Amino acid sequence: MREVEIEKEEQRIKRKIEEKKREEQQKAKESSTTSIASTISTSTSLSSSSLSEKKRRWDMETPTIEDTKSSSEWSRTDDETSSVSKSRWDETPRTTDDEMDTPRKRSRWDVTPQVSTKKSRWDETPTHPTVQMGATPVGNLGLLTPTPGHLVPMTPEAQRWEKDLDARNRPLSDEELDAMFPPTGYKILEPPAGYVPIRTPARKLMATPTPMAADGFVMLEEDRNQTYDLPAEIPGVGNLPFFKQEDMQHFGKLLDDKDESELSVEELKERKIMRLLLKIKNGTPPMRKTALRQITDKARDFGAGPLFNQILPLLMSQNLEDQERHLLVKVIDRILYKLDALVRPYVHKILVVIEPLLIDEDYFARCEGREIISNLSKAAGLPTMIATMRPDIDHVDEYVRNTTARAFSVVASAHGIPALLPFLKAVCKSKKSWQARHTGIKIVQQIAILMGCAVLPHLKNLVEAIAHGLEDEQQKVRTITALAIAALAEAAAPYGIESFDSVLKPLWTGIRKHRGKGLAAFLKAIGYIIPLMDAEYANYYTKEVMIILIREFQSPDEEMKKIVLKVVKQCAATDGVQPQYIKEEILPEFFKNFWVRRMALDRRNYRQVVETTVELAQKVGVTEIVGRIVEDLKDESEPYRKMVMETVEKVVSQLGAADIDTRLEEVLIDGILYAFQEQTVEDIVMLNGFGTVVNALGLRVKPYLQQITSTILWRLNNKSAKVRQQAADLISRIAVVMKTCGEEKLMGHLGVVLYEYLGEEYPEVLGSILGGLKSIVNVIGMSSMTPPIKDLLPRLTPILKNRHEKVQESCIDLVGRIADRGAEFVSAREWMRICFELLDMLKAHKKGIRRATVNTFGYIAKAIGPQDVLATLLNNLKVQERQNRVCTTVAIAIVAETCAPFTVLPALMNEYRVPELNVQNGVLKSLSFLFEYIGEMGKDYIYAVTPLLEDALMDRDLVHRQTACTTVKHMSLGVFGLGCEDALLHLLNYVWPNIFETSPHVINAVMEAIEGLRVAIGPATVLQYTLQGLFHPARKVREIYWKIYNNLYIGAQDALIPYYPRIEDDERNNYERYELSMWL
Amino acid sequence: MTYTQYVSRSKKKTIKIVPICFVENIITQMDRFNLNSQLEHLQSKYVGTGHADTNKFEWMVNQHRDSYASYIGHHALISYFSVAQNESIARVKFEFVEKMLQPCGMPVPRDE
Repeated sequence: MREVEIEKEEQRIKRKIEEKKREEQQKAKESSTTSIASTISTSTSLSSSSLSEKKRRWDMETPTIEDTKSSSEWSRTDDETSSVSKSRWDETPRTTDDEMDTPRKRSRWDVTPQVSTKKSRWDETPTHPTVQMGATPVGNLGLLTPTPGHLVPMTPEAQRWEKDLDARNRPLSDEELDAMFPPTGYKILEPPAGYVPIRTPARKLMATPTPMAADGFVMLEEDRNQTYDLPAEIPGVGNLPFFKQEDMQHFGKLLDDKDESELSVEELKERKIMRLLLKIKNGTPPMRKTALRQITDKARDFGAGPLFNQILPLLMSQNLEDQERHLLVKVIDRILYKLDALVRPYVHKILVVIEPLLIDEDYFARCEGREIISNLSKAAGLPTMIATMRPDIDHVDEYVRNTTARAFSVVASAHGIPALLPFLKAVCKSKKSWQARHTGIKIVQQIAILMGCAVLPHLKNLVEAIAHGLEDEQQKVRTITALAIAALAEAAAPYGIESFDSVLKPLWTGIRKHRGKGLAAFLKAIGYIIPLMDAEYANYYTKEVMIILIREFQSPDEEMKKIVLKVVKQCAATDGVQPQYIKEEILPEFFKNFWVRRMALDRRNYRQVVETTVELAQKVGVTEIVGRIVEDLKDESEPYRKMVMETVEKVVSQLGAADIDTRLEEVLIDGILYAFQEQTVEDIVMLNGFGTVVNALGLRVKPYLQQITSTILWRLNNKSAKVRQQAADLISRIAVVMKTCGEEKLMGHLGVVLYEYLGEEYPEVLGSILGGLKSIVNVIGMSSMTPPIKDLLPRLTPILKNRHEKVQESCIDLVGRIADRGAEFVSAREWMRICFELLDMLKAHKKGIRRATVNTFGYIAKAIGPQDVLATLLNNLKVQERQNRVCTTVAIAIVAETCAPFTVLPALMNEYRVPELNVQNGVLKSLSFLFEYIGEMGKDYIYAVTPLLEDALMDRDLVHRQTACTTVKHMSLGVFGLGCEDALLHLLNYVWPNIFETSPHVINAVMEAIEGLRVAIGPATVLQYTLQGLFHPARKVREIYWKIYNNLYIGAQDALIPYYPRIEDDERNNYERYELSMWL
Repeated sequence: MTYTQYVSRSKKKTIKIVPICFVENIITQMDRFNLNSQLEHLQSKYVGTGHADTNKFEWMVNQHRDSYASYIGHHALISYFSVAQNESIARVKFEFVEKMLQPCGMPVPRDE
């Protein structure tokens, strides 16, 4: 009793401490935002108040016990952490002590997520979390658990969770404190005189640990009743998995406990709908299913009005999650289908709500919006849709017109373009207002974007409908027309040039008349039309437009730049344009205007320039392009160097390096080395570029390898982790080329250096170093590896303990490689040690790691014999964790496969005698995998395992029978045609009674077993079993027998013909197949 | 059974905590739903498949049609039949095709 009390007390103190920590953190934050004076006052008051409170707690009753206990905990923390860190970090014993700080913290988070250990951490770094982030910039990348530093809840889910946590950690009220403390022996202290509780809302926001993601100022909810007492059960709905604060707004009515008998029919209906909607939105899947069916069935009874009056506001609410929105869209879909024409009066209302979804930033929201509008237009019919949306076509608000155009394009895709075409033609020619014409043309554009190549049959009509817009008096209309034509041409590519005949002339004359935005649109249209033309025309028109393009190269407008680049790219890609022409006319101006430092600064320009240059290189060759930019690899602007490097990389990877002459090669390597060394931000682009160029040059890189290697070695020694990581990565990129150049000695040296760096403490870097080692081992082979394998492997064993995914994966890859190719270099004892380490790796989250581990077991077993490995694995079947067991069974099967089954089966079958569910199932599962892997080799083992399977198929446990059935399936498929029918028939007799199982997995396994047996022992036998129940009086029996029959029939339709039973004719019909009785 | 199935099964097992009275209801409902939906699809692909309400006549008609199709498909069989009946192969084939129309005579009225 007393202990319980003490424990409670301890818990509370811990909580208090945490609160204090949070306050401290807050304080740190506040100090940056608020004035110094106020900070001092609050901090002093905060600390003094918490101090006094703490004092009161500490001299509580039974201070001695409390003291010993707490002291043990408190004083432990520090030594504990150090000891923990030591033991964890003996995997990398070369860690220097001064740099142990940050990684230790991270690993602690992976292993012991305890409150007490967190404490010391916070005391060490009482700074803002982002600072800590900065110190270890790489740390969080691959980790599953996010570091606590940046726990900013992004989803409403997380926010709610945090709110919940706050609720439980809220300050204790006076009543609660009174209830807790004995009435005597305590004194309630007055707060210090200077203490003023925070009143200003902004500061309050900072003080309470609510998520900072909220945009702007938020008034916090004060009403505790609402916040903390959400109902778990809604009357008439039952238990919901969750009921959120936001739901109150819509479904609050259900909670007001009114007497149902007093309500009117309408109100009752409303409530009914509300309940169904709530069930659909928040319910469990079965609940949702029934509710959805009900609401669909009764849709016509409820009527469109009441339904949409509730669904639409719900759909509009701000904090709807994706899943909920999806469900509501589903509801609308279903009821639209039922309501059909009844929905007509509500079309506009629905559209108003749904149309904004069409321009949502979330892709899925757009899709769902489209789906609803499509269904709506099918239900309401085209005339209604046109009539409803027509007024919006020339709406004053651009936003409305935009959404209307998009909605119309969806209607067009639902009803087909021809149905809408007359209307479109009329709208595009509207004399009433330019807005109508604008919207009409925009509809065509959206149709092209939405339907893609499906516009082809109607292309001519569509183009003609909008063609006149190119010469409209209104600038905006001309622009949108050009854009619409561009969209149509893009959708039609590479067909349909003949449809654009009518617009070619206005387009090409247009580019001489327009300036600015209009010109950009026209150029865009031309850019998309040129690729459709055949070579001759393309060449002609390209030359026409190029004059304008080259003039616009100098345009300061960003949008124009992008379009010009795009058009150049499209023109260059067409067949008709000659390399000569590009070299002479385009390249000089192009490089003058676009290969400047400024272009590298904007992300989108950068990409466009690179793409266009690569496209030009396809025409004019590597040397022409690379020769022009290679000097810029030594430019002083880093982003620009990056742009050059990316272009070089893409060009070389696409076109090879055969074109590059000796001088250029020299300059190129020189430039690359410079750019690589001068990076301040380590970028994958540089790494890729380096790797690609070196690999493309191949043997020609030999003279430079010495220099490259010394660069790598220098950088491996760098202080910054990222630099080291990149250097190690580079080794794995160029290892193959080094081998090609015959630089084994250099590689051996690199191997030794990497080996020495295995003490690396940054996991990302360590992973890369292991990767580098692996690539070296791969190319120079086990026997000539330096350091020798027998030294290398023992160093890898402790690294296997590392919890970081990248390290684990590279390490297991390397170990597996050694086990595969060079197992003889290492003693059996070491391999056994590794086996034990590997068991832990089966827990990994990443599938690649688990797979590599399981394979490694196979290699090791092959190297040192299966007995010891198997014993280890069989022991592991006893563990609780499922994933671990499953992987173990796979490993056993692989061991059996690599070392021949007879070495493994006896021990495995013996293990089945252990009276433990998990173990037996594991054995069965191993057998199943085993027979799957060994295939027809299984014929020698069937008779051996049959008794075991008999037993399993008669077991009381479902999973036993299921797994045994799977085993039978694999076994029978493996031995088809090898004369094992007798054993299989025997097994079929044990499988057959299981056909009446109802659990889906079991019945599936049984069915598959029967299928497998059908293959192995022939359909005739199985048909004879099936005939017994096809016309059984009980429907349940017939159902399953027909199911088996159908499977049988589908699998062996023709083969069944001779085996159908002979049925005698009756007075009405003749059933005899008399042909079969013919005898010669 | 594949690995993923195995995993999904275990997930279901751990997550679903439904009162007993629900379980049976859900399973049968789900099963019926699946079985029927698949059956319809199956029947559209393979006419010869059956279901719990298939009667003797329907089953036999399918058997006969399958048999004739099989005879026609295996040349050895059809030449055997034609020798036995002293008819040309083409005629026997033609007769078989003709017989596929109503191989067992008039349909039996179904009792609902």
